[in-house]
Amino acid sequence: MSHWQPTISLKNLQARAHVLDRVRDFFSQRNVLEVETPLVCSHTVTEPNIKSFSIANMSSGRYLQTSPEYAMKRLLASGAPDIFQICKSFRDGEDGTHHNPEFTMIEWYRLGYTLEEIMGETVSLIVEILNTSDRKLSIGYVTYNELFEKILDLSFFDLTEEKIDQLCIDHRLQSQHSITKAQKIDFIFSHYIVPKLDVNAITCVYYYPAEQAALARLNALDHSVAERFEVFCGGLELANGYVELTDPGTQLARFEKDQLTRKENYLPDIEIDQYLLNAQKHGLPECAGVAVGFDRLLMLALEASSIEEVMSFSWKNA
Amino acid sequence: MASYSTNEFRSGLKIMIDGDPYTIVENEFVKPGKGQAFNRVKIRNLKTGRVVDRTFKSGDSVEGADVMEVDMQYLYSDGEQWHFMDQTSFEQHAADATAVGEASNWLKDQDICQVTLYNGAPLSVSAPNFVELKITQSDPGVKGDTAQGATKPATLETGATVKVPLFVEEGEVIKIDTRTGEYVSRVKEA
Repeated sequence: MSHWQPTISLKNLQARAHVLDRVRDFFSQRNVLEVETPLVCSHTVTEPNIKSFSIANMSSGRYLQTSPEYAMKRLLASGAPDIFQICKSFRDGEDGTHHNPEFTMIEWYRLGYTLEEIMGETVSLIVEILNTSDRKLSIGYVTYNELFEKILDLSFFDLTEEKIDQLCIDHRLQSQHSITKAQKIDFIFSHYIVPKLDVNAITCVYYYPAEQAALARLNALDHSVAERFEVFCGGLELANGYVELTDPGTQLARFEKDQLTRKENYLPDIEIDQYLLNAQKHGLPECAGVAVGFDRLLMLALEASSIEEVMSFSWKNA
Repeated sequence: MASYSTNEFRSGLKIMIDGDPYTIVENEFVKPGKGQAFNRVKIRNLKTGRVVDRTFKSGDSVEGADVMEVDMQYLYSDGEQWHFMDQTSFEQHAADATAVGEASNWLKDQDICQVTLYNGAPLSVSAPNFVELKITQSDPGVKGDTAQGATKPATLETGATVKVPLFVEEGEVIKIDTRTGEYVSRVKEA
């Protein structure tokens, strides 16, 4: 049994409130409207690597939201202007030094933004919170493939199955047999690439390979990459964003592919969210959106060594 | 033996890897937001003491190792085997020189130490952190040698040799930290 006391210090509790205020200021100065969307919904994401908490209901099952993305896109499809939200999100099983199954996310959408614009604004927010008079982080922009070339000295697009297996073996990945190619790529990225990112820099990684597009649109000129980006501070992943996919047909095909991957990996079936698809059929305006892990941002701002130090009560004694 | 899922990983858990028993020293959860989750662990081989890194796909299961740490009383050594008795079951176990290792320097009859059993047989022995042993041989300190921190060798009743301050004499009982093998203090005999 853990202690009843909070895992956060009084100093960090006050700092958390202060940083929340600054995030709200950031958006109000830019005329972005704060919204709230439901945390308990009838549908959830089909993404194979994200596990939702399901909750029993009198009539039917519901899910705690893993991010407010779908509901916010439904607002945009109905004519909402630029919007942001600061809310709790829930992901079952994600528990560690940098993870808590219940966490706080900052998510926002900008109408008509390009990849450069949304990346730039994300970096501005992070810099606003993290840079102080005695801490100046440098900022770098690099494509997913350039990182492979820089760190592993090979192109991501030239990776053979043999090379992938060799990299996994060299870095002591157990259980090779039960693992798919996509999972091995995740292993290589998180064990070879991420640890090599400059610890004193904010690194924007963009143009993820098309297989990892998630909800981003593909680049119009080069269909092998998606207009998806992530922001790292040192090796810590802080943000994930897209120039959003708006076409409902492509969206449906991606959801169906997720469902197939779930089946292949013996994961539970997840129904496709028709509310989102119908909103896209009605018309999702061209937009870009991004999610930032608020607790991690706070960890960096307060130089905390574990996420629990910036949360009132962490998973272990919530 | 039961198997453990990665979400049960914690330091101290005993698992089998490549046919050897290991204990988990450190467990780190690693997951790209949109990607596969992994458990990156540091594990110590219980036979060799070596610490290595391994990464598991989260959700995988690993066979547990039949390893137990039991407090036992040291009885005697016949030269080849060291004999111990389980304090609760009174069962006796014999450990060879490999299992006893460094601990043989500090074991005195009746002392309680921790014996790690693997598949029911002693795999390693840890002496108590502090032991009290009698000096069986040590030359007198040279008169006039008053340099601070000067030491001389002393042979203990177990046969081990430790460095002691010059004022400590043969026949005295001293306290030793077995983790460093260093002299701590003199012990006044009751």
